[in-house]
Amino acid sequence: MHIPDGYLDLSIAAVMWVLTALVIGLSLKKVAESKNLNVPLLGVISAAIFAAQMLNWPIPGGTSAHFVGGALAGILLGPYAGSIAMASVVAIQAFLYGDGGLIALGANLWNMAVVNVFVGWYIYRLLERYSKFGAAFVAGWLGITTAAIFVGIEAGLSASFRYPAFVAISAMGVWHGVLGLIEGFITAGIVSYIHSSRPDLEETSNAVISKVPVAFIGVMILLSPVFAYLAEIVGYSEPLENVAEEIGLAEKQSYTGIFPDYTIPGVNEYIGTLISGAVGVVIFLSLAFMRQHASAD
Amino acid sequence: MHLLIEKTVKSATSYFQDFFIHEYSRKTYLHDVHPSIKLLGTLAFIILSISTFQVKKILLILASVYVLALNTGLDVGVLAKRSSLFAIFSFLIVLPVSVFERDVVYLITFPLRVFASISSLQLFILTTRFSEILYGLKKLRIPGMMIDIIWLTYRYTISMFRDLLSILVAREARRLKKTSHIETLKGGSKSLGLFLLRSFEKAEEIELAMNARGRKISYRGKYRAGFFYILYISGVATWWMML
Repeated sequence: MHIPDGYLDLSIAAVMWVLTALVIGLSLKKVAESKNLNVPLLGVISAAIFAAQMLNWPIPGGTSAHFVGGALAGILLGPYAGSIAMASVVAIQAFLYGDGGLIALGANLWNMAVVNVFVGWYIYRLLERYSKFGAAFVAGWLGITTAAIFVGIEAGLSASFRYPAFVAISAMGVWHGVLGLIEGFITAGIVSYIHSSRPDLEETSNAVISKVPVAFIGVMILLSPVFAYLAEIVGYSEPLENVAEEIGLAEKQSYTGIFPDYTIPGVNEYIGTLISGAVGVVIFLSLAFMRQHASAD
Repeated sequence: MHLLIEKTVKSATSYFQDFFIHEYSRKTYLHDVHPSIKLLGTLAFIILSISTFQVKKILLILASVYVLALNTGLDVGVLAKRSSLFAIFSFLIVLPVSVFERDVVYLITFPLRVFASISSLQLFILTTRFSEILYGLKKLRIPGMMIDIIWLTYRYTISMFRDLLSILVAREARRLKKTSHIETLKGGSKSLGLFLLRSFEKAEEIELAMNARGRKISYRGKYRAGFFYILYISGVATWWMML
């Protein structure tokens, strides 16, 4: 589920960062306004979700699956706090373990901290009047499956990843659709247990949630593949190379060394020699100084 | 249920090792560079890696990252080992499409891009403590509330995992007969439910303790501006553009 750097085009990664920043920013604002939620509670519950993710559930065939908990976070804490809790977990996984990339972190946050949490929460709120167990099961199942489908959409739309979108979406969707049943079952078990033991906790997740922002976020989730598609059309695919070409630093001839004859093609011979010399000096001097300035201990 | 505990402990042991590897004690130049500068430098390396499919450009970034690691005294073997798993996985993922399109270059460049970008990230991780990363994020104007939550999540993960394991082991100790997969799922879910309830209670205790001690979490540090690091990255970026 964690997309590493290199799978997404920069334009798509940038769009996902913008969308994520909007939703997480709004969530932080909502949580800051809330009276029931505070930083220690969110920190500790995020740690609990992180710990719960380490459970490896044995499944028939000798393999195992682990719990993700996005829908559960939404159901227990409400969509805003749930998305922040999941964002915290996903950020730690990226910065501590290198699970998922930094450029792709926006997309990973979008999939696991926004789509998984909000879709799970929407489904639970829609179905809970019929059966809390059933609603939590469907929320857990479809929350993770939808998040996986979004991974497929983002990777599939990226030109860097050569598989057609429908292949990427099917591979992610079908696989997680099956594994998601376990996620749904665990989510339902936890929600039922908490509902029977501490029904008062539901007040935390249901408190002060106005319809307009969550509807807006729902529309954003629905439209995000369109934004990604447009970003791909506008921005494919190697912007830095385009910049290099535009400013005359790239060359189309076959490779003739880094700086052929210490010059830069297209640049005045003397200036080219000067720049190529300066680049080499900068790299090696900086390396030497780094070595020299390392702490004694 | 014992399978659940066994598999979990096995997986978590290797996972938690990273908590300690992360607290890398050796001091090199890179350890002293301001974390926000290092983070921006890492982003630059990653962007340069994933912005191209030209082998020579990717190799330049890869060489630059490993020369930097070598120069600052890091164990290059550890860096390569930590970066290679997902690169191999990426190779296997793109193998079918490369064979179908008869494009050997793509089969090499795609995993190489992934390897270069993961190596850049791992270099950052291996030379920056988690508290320093958060300090760097704070300096980059990431909202303080988000950073405080991430910091608390980091601080309490191992403690929470220990609580969870205690609940599972206690339940396992009371078990009298072998359980099926479905029963394991049911029992495990109940255990998780109990664990989350206890987490809420623990959160209340921690909040009271934080109120008593003062709630402000401070991230301080004294770092170099990283002048030579910036020069190095600028030089590599210029070289990359000229290639």
